[in-house]
Amino acid sequence: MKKIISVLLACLFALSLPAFACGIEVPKPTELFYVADYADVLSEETETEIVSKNDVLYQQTGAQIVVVTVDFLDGNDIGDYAYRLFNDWEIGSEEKNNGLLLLLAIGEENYYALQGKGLEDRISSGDLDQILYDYLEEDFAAEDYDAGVQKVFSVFYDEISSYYEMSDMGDSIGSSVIGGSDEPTQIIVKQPFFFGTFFRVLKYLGIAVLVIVILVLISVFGRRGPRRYPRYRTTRYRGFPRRRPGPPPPPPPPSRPSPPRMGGFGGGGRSSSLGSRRRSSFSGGRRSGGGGSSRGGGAGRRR
Amino acid sequence: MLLLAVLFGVFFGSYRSLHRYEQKAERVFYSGVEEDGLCVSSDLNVIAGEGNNMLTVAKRYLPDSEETAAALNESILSFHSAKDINGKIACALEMIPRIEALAGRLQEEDLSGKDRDYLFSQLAEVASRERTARLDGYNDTAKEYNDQLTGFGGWMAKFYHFQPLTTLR
Repeated sequence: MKKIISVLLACLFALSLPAFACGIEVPKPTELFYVADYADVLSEETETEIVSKNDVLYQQTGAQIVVVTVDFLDGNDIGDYAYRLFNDWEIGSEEKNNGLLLLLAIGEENYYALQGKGLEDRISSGDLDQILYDYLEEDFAAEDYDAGVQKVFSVFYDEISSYYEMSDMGDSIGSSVIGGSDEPTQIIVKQPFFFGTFFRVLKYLGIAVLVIVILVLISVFGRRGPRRYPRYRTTRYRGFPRRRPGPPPPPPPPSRPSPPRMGGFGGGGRSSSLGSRRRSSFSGGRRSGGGGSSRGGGAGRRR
Repeated sequence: MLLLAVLFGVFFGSYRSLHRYEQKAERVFYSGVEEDGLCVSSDLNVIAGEGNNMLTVAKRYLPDSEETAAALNESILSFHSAKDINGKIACALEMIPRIEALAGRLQEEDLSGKDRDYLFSQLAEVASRERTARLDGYNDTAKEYNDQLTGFGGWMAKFYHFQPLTTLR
């Protein structure tokens, strides 16, 4: 019985894994998440801008625009690679599927953009093709990847912002976080994002509860065995303890004063180790995908 | 009597089971895995639409007798008149290379900047939709259904005239 339940448990975990198994290996996201410059072609300023704008975008809409540069694709089709990367990293909000991936394969002289299924109506693959051609192609062909990414990222950001009717936070994102800007800004939130996080937490809690229930069942069924009827009756003493009480436990040792704390910050995600080769001065907690997915459309470089 | 009841149960049960699989695959084809309208049917309709758009551009540069345009037009008409899933997919699989052939032909012409942009956007949209259709969950449900038609259920399927569904993978 225990064996059967263990097998069922293993199957449950296996089924929870993504159903698509393309066999394509993609890199893991960096701590910055929104930019992964594995090909080392982007400047620190560009990376900072990408992260700052994404923080605002994600906070207000759940959308994420992730920029990834790699050298090569290991023989994979760039569209398949982008699809795998998008879904592995879960770009965009789980509820709205409003992620957008920009992938540059520098050594292959190719690029690709892929939108989440929630953005297909707003930014079709034809639109992506046009945007890439208008804003990225010229700089990409001239090997000025940084300039190209800056331009095309801005366009993507503007498109998604206008779709969600985000107010213009301006370029002073940093100053509004640190010291506030002179002009008051009004943020129009189309949909509260809190509930997306709430339901995601609920989902994980549900999975955890299910696992606990199964473990409890294993322990309950595992304890059960065939009833054994003793051949003889045991006598029970009423009012008398069956065993003599043991000696009293020794007194606890006197408490030592705790040593002084060596470090100050607990929790959070500050780490000096970044996925990209260059250290960024941008600080903040660890970021991750919002649970979004793509159907695999997108557009690439015109040939 | 018992034997008859058992036989009836087997026949009726297998019919219901096969019908359920078939219905599920159809539902996914026309409505999507999550029944949100993001489905193979909509993807193929978009492909047909882009084909028509490309024909509009082609009319500005190619003569009416152009073979690639006529072939594509014929495919699009066949697609719209197809009555079932297998018909739709067969026509779409014929349509896509014809769209590419027409695009290739058009690129030989001296297109305006705008028309060149249209052409590439259309090609991008077609390629994108073909990809999503290929990756769509419909292919898995169709395969599940097709698997039911083999083996023990195979002769039952023939008895009831169930046909396998075409997939895009």
